[in-house]
Amino acid sequence: MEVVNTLVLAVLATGFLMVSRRSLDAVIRLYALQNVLLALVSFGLAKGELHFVLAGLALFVLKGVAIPWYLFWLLDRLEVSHEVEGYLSVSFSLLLAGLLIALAFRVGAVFVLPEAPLPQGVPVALSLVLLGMLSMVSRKKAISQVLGFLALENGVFLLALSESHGLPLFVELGVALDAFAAVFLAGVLIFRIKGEMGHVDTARMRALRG
Amino acid sequence: MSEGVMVSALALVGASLVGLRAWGSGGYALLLGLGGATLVQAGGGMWYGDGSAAGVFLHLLGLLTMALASYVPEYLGHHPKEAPVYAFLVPLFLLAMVGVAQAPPGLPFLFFWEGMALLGYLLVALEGPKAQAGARAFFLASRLSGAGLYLAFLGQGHLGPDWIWAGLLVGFGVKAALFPFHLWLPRAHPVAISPVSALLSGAMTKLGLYGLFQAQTWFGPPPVWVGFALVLLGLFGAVYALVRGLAEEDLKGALAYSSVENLGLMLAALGGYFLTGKVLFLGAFFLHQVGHALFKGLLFLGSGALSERQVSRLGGLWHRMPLLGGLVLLGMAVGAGLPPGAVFAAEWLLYQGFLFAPGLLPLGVGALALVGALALYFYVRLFGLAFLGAPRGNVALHLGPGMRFGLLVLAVILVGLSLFPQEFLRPLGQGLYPSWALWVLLALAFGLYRWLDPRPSRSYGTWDCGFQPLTPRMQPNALGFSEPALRLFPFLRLKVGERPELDEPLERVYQGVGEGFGWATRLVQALQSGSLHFYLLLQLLTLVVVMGVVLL
Repeated sequence: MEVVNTLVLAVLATGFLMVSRRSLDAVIRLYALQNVLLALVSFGLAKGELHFVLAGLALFVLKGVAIPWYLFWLLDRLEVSHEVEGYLSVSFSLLLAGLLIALAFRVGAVFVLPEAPLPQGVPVALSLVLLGMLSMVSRKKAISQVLGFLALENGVFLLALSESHGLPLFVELGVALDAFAAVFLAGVLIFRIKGEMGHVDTARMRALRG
Repeated sequence: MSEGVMVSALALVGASLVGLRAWGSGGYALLLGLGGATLVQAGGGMWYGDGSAAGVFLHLLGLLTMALASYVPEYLGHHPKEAPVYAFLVPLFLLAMVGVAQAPPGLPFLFFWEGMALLGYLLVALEGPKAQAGARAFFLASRLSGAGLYLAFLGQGHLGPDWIWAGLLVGFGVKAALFPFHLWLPRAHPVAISPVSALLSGAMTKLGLYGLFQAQTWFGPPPVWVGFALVLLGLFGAVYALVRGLAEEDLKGALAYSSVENLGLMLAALGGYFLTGKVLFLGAFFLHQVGHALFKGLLFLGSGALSERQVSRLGGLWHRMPLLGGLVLLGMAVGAGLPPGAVFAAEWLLYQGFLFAPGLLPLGVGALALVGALALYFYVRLFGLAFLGAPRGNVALHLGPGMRFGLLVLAVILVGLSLFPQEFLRPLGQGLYPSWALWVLLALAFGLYRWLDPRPSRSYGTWDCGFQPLTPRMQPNALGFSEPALRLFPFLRLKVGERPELDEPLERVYQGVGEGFGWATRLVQALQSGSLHFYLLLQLLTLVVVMGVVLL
């Protein structure tokens, strides 16, 4: 259990670092690391249950390897700078991230179900969701919205993992595939945006209004 | 639900399916007629069996449907624009109204109610761009009505009777043209094609009354203020609608205002019933419904024979088509409340109800008398300007055998109801209306009149003062005729100029409400800045707030 606890804290640390880094390469690498850690958590929770292992494997292969590789390839093809452009300074985002994590930990205990196998994971999962949204809100490049969404999705995965004995395997696999498909489509869309407007700056797209 | 209603529902479904392909064939008319006849039969059975309000409604709906069965195919033949769509939608609209009258309270009722509103909106909106304002008014009124009903139905068990009945009063009152929610009706009903106008005014508005009446069994007896509100608003609305209708230059528009007036009297009768529980009010309530459905159906269907709706461009129709003139005269005489018409019988019951009621209610008699006088003025103007005098222009008339038959059906039933209202009122018990005595009185009065006024008369052309020959345009104008009466009422303002124009302060109140709403929506629109990050931020804040709520 100690090991799993440490792993969960490490997951939180990766999430925190993802908000603070200024280089997209670093963020993608952190995301890959986060998925590897989550896969390990999944293995750690498996007490001989096959579907934990299979879900962890799928996580490792799809989100730990395939998606980061795809994102790196996307960044190269797009020919945009690998710098994160945001509205907030690093220190201010860190401050906000700290506040959100504090909120998640304050609220987290309420959300724990009676038979949760990993109650410590719930606040971390909530933090991941909030941090993912924070990076979606505060960053300008379309690709950072994708990364924020992926982090949020990891939070949902961790929540399912720590609240129940994992979702049924099919759902788990479906969600993992879903995320992959979403990222794939987002990549296609970003290419189209780049081709259409010559940039991928979501702050400059303001035509969708009432 | 009785078998008769099932048969009629099936017939209506069949009619709508046939209508889509072959509305001109005899099958459509047969199915519609079958649906109408079974409705009349089933409704009559329910009414005479246990005196249910739904029975009255189904009965009058069936009567209108029977008239439409022969009227609609021929009418659509003269107006081929969108004819299959109309032929398809009209039976469905009828079906939705049957559903409303049969559905149990709760979600099934709301389903049929909204379906009816939607179909009604489509039927009005089908007329194209010139019907757009009317269709929009209809739609907004339906939304308001829906809001009131949702408040009542969803709030049942949670809210007090005051709130429930406020919701019902708005929900059903809007449909029944309760003052001041009546403004949509004279806008929406006249712009639809005539058979649809007849259905909207003749039948659909009655469902608001039916709902208010049934609500006392669904939600328990209403608070006292509901009865007072119905009496006050009903009577005031009746006077208001007649005065406003006097200034209406559109024939069908004027008929729509007359609907508001009649509905006002029915609402007042219902309010009187709520307050006192007297059967007299109930008799007035039901008899007026059927009488109004018949004569308003007759008038709207009759106006469908004309290609022109502006009263000031009609004239002299009596000589061109005496049959139409006679039928319309019958409808208007009944509508004006002349004895022995069905409306007179209903108003007679209402008079008695008010006279023998406790408290301040007898004062309502004054308003009733004013309504009676104004209604006479109102219909004299319409009939005189449109049917008498000299023709003011070329107006095309279409009245084939089918349409004629439809009008005659309504006219015959109307005459029957007028002569024997006590037969209709049998389920309420008591000889409410001694019609033979009235006949004797009428005969005596007529004899007295001839005896007192035996002056010889002669007919001659109008004298032109010897200056220049008279032209048809020198006849009274529709607004000019009613101008002396309009001056008497402060809630309308006439602007005098080359052409008199009307200023209705109530309309400006609604405009103000609309502008305020627009202002509020623009405030909300400020949220939709177009910035992706702002949208995402709103989501984040929502999440944080939800989490904060959990803490509380």
